[in-house]
Amino acid sequence: MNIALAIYSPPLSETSLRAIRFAKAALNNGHSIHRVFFYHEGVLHGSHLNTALKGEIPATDEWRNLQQSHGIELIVCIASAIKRGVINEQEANRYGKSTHNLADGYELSGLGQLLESAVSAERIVTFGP
Amino acid sequence: MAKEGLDAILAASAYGQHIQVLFMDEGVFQLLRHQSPKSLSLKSPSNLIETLPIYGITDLYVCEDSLTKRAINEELIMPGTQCLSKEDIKHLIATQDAILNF
Amino acid sequence: MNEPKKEKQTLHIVSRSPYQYRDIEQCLDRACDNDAILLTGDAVFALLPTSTIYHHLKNTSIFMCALEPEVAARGLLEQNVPESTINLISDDDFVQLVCEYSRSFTWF
Repeated sequence: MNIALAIYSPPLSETSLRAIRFAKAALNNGHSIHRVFFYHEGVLHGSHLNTALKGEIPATDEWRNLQQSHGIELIVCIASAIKRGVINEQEANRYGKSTHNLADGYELSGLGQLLESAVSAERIVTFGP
Repeated sequence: MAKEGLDAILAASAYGQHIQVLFMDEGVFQLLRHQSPKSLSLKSPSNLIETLPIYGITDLYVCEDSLTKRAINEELIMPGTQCLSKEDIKHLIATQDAILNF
Repeated sequence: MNEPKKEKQTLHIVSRSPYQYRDIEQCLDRACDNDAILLTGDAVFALLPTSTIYHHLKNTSIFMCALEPEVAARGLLEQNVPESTINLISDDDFVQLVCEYSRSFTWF
């Protein structure tokens, strides 16, 4: 089954960890995940500056690995992201910022991608704030 | 996540899908009239909610029980929403293809 | 209300503590008999027979389950969680429930 995920909680939260475990379990059981949409505080997953301390789970890298191994789209809501300091090169130029931090494998895009997932995937599971 | 929810509703209107919006529990406070969040340098959700029909989103529902529990009578909320009973809400949930909560 | 589509079941997901939020009561109030409710995160504290919400869970006919790793993480497996009330499920089971039920609804 094609399952889409929406993640509203920040990395390091229990909900973020649950979403990663769910995605791995779904993929292991032969399901596909076309897209993960990060919204609200969930957009904080998209910064490559997130650094897991020893023994902690590096959520940003975990999703990036799943993106590489399974072709999952990691979409970060552009409006939620720039407000929270998660920004790519193009937006850094637009807003006159001297640096950018969007992690490889992640894309900034609009909310339409969340709605498109809700419509096109067979199931959408929200991991709340 | 009131603002996030309204932004999502507006984005959804572009997808040509049949969208139904339910305000329940603390969400019903968004429907109160005379909100003036300018005092906090914020935008009013009620202005945005009033524009939803322009975007083709006309199925706006409010949970009757949530209003009662908060002692909000229907005159206090903006017009254009339909009150649903608990049974109506169960039916509404059970007939959706997908649900997003904000 | 629009055209009456065929009613199918919903998987409700709750994750916040019943001591701080009313998610579980609000969910129980709007869930249909054939729905399922999955307790995750601090919502699993509802499973303690001493919790304020426990009698609601005990008296419902709705399928109640909880994510075992998150129950175990809180030390509740040793706390007399009655097996008749709750089904402890794995992450794989969570995925299976999402597929079996027609839609999911995350409460917060």
